[in-house]
Amino acid sequence: MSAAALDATGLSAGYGPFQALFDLTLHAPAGSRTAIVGANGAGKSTLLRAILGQVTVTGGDIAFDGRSLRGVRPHRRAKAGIALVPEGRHVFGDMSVADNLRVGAHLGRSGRWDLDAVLGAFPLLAELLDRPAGVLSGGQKQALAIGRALMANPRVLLLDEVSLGLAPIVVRDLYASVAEIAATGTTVVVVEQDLTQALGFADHVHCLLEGRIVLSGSPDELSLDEIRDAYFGVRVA
Amino acid sequence: MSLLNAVVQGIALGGLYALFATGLSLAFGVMRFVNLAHGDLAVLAAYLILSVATALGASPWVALPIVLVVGGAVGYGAQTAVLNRTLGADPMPSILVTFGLGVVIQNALLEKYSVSQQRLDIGGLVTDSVSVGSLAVGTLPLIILATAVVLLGVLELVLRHTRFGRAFRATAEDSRTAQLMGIDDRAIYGAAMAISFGTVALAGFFVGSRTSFSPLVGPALLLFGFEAVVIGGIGSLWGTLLGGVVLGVSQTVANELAIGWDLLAGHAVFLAVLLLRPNGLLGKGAA
Repeated sequence: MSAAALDATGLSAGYGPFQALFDLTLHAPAGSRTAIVGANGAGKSTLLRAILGQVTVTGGDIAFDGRSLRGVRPHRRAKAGIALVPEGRHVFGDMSVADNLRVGAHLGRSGRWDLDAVLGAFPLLAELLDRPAGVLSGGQKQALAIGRALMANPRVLLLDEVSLGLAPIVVRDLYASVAEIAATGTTVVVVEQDLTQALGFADHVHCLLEGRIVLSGSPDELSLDEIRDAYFGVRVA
Repeated sequence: MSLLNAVVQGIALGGLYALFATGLSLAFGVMRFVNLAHGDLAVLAAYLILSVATALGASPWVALPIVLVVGGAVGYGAQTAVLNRTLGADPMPSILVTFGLGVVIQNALLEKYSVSQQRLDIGGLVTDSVSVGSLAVGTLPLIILATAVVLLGVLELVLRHTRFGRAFRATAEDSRTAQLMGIDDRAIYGAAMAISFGTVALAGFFVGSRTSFSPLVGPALLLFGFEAVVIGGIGSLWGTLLGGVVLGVSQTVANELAIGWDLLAGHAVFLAVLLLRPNGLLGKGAA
């Protein structure tokens, strides 16, 4: 399954009366690795949920593989090939690890990811298959959430705060796996609070502040100071 | 010995309660949907079976599969067209809508069939019995119990081991995340209501063949159904069977000890379970 491009144009979105994104434009070309950084409440997760159709979009549009997603319900977007690893992992805690992975493959989209391939990428899951997902450690749950998303053989993989609450060594391993996934040609968009991880992984970084993109560029073009200023909303003199 | 007989009768009665409560349990388990019209739907199904059988000049057994299929289809349609709109964080809309639906069904039945008692005539089965040792157990109660066990067993297998079942469980646990897997939660809710309407029609058939019924008996059935679900533990199908049996046995044994105390004893046992094990006997979080 080939990668696909994701384009948000003039996007405004929010929850009820609360607007979280303002006229946001972002292009993630097919096969690219994009990182979206920003402080808590900057609108990063809202952007990902908007791409899946799970928050109200009040303006602008999102196109997947060149086609507008307006009016397309969330499960249809998944079917088109967009997968989200949600913040907080959201594994199905009452179900076994194996069943979580099978639910990930619900759509039966074919591709290189199946149970064996996912267990190859995350060997720690292999001995946990019969356990209820609810009892796993944070790192194990995160691996499961990513593996579950891969089971759908997505064309675009969105990862929300994969490093949150995990030990640095676990984060490093997870990012190594995500880099391998990106190398297979899948478009990857990560939302990340950890700047070092984001800059190390992405070929393009967008900094979000209060629902707007305030800085964009490749990690080479941007200095850490510039990003920090944008991150915290400090105006560069 | 008559006490033993009462226990056996109670278990069989419990099968009927479980059969009736399965739909309540499923709808609540997967979408937190409280269906106050569930009892009235069972009564409606009994009347429909009566009418179809009369129209065809055939036995209620012939009318049963027709009403089952129609019931399932109506359940799916009602859920996807109307009832899905009542779902949300607030359970009140579903409660109000189904309360109203129950009133509408009761009055429509009164209008069409009057208050007089009806019965589904399924022949000699009602009075047949099987001898087990020195006990004579009614054939119909045994059939009802066996039906409940098989139905719950099949449902449990489907939920555990099929693609649909996994989608169902995932939606029950976290519908928003299930959407991310490409699962259409509204279609899952429709399927849940199809199963709910189908099983309640089956329960209505057995209620109507076992005893007489009239348009207003639905709410009493509903109470037993809810008690079975809560005693067994919300979210557990086998729990619902156990809850039905506990309720049934409480009623028949109490009636054996002191005639007329059956309903009160059933409610007392329900309240005792609620006090001592608020999550039910097999419910999640039960100690």
